[in-house]
Amino acid sequence: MLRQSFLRLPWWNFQTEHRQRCVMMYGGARTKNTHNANHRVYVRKFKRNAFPNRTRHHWAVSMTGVQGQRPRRMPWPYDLTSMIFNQPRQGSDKIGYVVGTSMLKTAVVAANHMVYYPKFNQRVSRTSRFFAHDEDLACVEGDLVHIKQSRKISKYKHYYVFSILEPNVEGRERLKLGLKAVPPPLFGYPVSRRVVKLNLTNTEGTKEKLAAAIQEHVQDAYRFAGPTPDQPRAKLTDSASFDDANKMIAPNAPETTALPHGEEPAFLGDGQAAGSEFSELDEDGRQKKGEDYWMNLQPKEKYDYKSLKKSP
Amino acid sequence: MLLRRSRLLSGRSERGLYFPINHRIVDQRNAPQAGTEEADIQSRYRRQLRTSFITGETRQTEAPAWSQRVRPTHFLSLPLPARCTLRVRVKEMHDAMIFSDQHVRPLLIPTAKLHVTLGVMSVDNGAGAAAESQEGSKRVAVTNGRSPADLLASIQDCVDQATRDICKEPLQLRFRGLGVFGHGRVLFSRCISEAHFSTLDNLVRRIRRDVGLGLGVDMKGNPHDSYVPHVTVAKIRPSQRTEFGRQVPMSIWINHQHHDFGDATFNKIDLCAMSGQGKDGYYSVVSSTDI
Repeated sequence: MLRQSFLRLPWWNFQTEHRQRCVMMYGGARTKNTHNANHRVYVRKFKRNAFPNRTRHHWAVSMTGVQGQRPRRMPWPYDLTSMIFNQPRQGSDKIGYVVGTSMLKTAVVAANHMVYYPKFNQRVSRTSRFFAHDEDLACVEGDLVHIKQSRKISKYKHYYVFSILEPNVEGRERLKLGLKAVPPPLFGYPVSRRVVKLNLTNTEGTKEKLAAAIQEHVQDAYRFAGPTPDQPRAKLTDSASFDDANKMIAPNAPETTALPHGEEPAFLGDGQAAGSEFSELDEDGRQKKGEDYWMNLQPKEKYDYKSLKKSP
Repeated sequence: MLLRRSRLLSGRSERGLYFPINHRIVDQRNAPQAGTEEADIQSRYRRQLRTSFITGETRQTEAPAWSQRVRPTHFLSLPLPARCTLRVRVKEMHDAMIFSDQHVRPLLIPTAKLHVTLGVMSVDNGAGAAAESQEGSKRVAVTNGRSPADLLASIQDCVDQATRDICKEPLQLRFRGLGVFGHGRVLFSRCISEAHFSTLDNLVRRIRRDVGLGLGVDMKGNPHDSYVPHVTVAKIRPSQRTEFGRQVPMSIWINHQHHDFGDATFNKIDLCAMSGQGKDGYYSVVSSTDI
């Protein structure tokens, strides 16, 4: 209690005019100053290319709240439905078109409602689909129906078809002829990947087309391997000869001409015999030396920032 | 083990809502506290909640009690034209019914007798008037002035007049689906409200009003009300009740419940008598009107 009243200030006073924050001396709205200007930050936890969601990626602070979303949108009951019907509660009557009657005794009705954006002073109509109960299967796709709210009829049904305002006469005729009431749409939902339709041509090309399609899918699977270098990957290991290494580094360089006979150096730079391999002990030592060199370096020796800056 | 678990998962308890909505039934006909404390009342309520669409039950205009006691004698009908899909399909349906169940054969209406019933009336002749009850006698008093033949002639005049006024062209009607009158006693093929159905309905209303109110004939049912035109396909007569029970079993016609019986064009309205044989198996036609 104390803490609640602690923060309530007469909001019309300037900061320096505040005396006591427990009471409003002459009345007025007791408001709690919620601190709106706090620097909310977004903590990035994922790499730019690896976000654990498929569709929507989330890289910034998101605005939370339903009614408080900006630009503010609000339900707008002053639409066609409320012009026609006197509704006991919002959404008890709706007018919509029947889209889909594939469920028995259920008509899917697409009805519109209004949303108002006070900032832009404009209204937008949104569409939503409802399951409506029609007992005697009277509805045909494309009917204009009046649906009403009722008791819960099934898990998703709380409307029933109150009347058919405008029957789809053509659809009924089509049904009588044994056709579908409405021809099915040519395309489904949009997909992100290219769908290969096979067997459009003669029967001979089919196998090749199928192979091509599968090849495409395999190529698609290769994206999990990451970027591939242009050159084939050959590892530069100790067993690689100098010529191999040279070839890896500069594949297009002209062939090294062999030294004339008798001029081969008897020793390498550090005084070892050229022909002999290193012993295991030496090998270990070299390894250790290398590791020491690369791993025990202090950062400032690794990267000399000062000299980096000074360089022209 | 895996199999058993999967069966468990797909079992009845887990395959839908925990308390399915179609099981949520409160019976208000019970006493208010009965279900909670005194007794648990169990019933298969969904059977009572089946709608007329499921059972095929159709509400025909209901005759008052005094009228129900009098047997109807005449009816208005649209005779089926020769070569009509309706007759062929009804025949097919009869065959299918007989194939599935031999016993129903006496219930079926012979194909020659098929007609669209537009209204039923009892026009009393001498024998009928004696059998009538007290309430009926008042009715008789209205019509007493005329003999039945006169009455039939004036009914025919009414029908002529109404037909001339309302029907300008032959009636095209559509028949689809089966329905049932009198708790499943009479099985009929529905005339659906497409094509010229509304014309027919106007005609029937007009005739009922003229005949029932104007002439004071006992049309069964309220003369201000309309009549459901139908093609009776099978029925249980009172004499057959002991053998076949009260209703035509649903199982024999359920396959044809929404069967399409096709379109038919009618160009005649008959006033038929129920008793007596006419030519080639049809009812004896008292008089007929061309549309």
